[in-house]
Amino acid sequence: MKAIKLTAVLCFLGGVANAQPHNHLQGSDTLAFYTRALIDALGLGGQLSYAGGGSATGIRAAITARTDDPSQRVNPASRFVNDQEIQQAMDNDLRFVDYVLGLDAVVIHVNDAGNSTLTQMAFSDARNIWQCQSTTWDQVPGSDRTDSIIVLARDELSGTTDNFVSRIGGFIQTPPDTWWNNYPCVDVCRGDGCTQLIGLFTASIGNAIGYTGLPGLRKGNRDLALCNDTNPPRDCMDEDYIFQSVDTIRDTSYPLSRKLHMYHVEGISDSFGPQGPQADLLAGSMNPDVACPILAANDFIPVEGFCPE
Amino acid sequence: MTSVRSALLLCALPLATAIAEPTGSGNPDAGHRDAVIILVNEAGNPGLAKISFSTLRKVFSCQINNWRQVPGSKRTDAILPFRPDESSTAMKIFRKRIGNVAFGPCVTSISGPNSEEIIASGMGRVPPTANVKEISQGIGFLGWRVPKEGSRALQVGNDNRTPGGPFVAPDQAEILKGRYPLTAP
Repeated sequence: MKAIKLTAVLCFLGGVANAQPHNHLQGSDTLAFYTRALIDALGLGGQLSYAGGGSATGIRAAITARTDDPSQRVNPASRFVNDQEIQQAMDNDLRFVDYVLGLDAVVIHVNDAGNSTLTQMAFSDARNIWQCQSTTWDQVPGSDRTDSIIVLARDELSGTTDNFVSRIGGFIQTPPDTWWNNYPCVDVCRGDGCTQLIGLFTASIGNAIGYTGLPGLRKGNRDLALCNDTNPPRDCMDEDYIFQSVDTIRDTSYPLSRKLHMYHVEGISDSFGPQGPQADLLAGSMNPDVACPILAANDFIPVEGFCPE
Repeated sequence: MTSVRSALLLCALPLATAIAEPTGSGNPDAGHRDAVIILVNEAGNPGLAKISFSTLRKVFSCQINNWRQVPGSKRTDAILPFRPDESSTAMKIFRKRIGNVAFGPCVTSISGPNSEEIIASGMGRVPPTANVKEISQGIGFLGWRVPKEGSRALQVGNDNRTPGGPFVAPDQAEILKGRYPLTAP
């Protein structure tokens, strides 16, 4: 009888340790269409779905992977995991393992026809716009408009926002999940339709400005050359403004270039890690035959040497 | 006739327009009665002309997430729902009329002074690009206005009671009479 009980307990514990991975993955909204296409291409649609929610939500889910049932052990992110999140994972006997699935850039875009003279922007000018200190276009160097600025942003949990504000600098980021309320001129989009919606809006509305990943660029809007005049402080000359391109993103000379990540968590003291469809998803992101067409369809840039040029 | 003429004039505006100030749910053409319209992309959802309260509730609570679950739609892909600022009049009317809506995680929300204008543009005509597919999956609600070129305002039916009410278009006359189901109380 004791043996049966012990077997039952061991089976239960084994079941918890090998619980089926989370069916509804969370993570970067920038990577929502990429991840869903990857799930489809790998035939995992019956086992996995992708809800997005922002890079921070996926990272938070992975940190608690040991105690969640089912658990999320793979998380697409458009930013690096930060020191606090690394520590939180370590407290749970987990570490993040990074795989760079591709490259992207945060782009600031305006209406092509409506803002034809504006081609470049310094970080300080961007900061003034998104902090509501510049509210009309005549306060923006290079623009010949004089009307109000409609300012769009991704939400606080977005990796795109994290990249944008951490490099532009000077934003008050409290309270943590609602800090855009400090800047009431900004229209904030939350959800996985935001890149498309912000791109469409700047393509359609003459006095709009927004930031997204590369997939937000479309006919009708135009990205600006950028100059980091903040870190270190300096005056930007014309030759200091850099447009995004495959080359300037790969060599990181474009000031808002970034990496896209397929993180997973693994145990520090044991073999805990992705299993089943989540392991397949991770492997699929590393397989050029599967991932390269999806990177191209999403306008992301492959890491040099990963895809046939 | 005035509203038809206004609609034609608005449709004739160039695509890149400027917004001078935030637009709300006000409806001066309809005798100051506020109303909410449900917009879809015209080319993306050619067969969809009407929608019921119960379907709207399921879409915005994410109980259904594929267009094949929406009666009248010929799409078979994921729904991309959009909602405006929490403090907008449109949100208040939507909650009051539809009743018992818990917005789910599939809903993309816009907060800020221009949230409804952003949704109106998002449902409208998309410049030709490879990314056209994503936005054509959209459905959004906002305060009454003449739909932008390329978007369609759906007829709405209140089936909160049995028997359900008729599907009514958000026309000026129907809003003034209070027959359009998403008219402010």
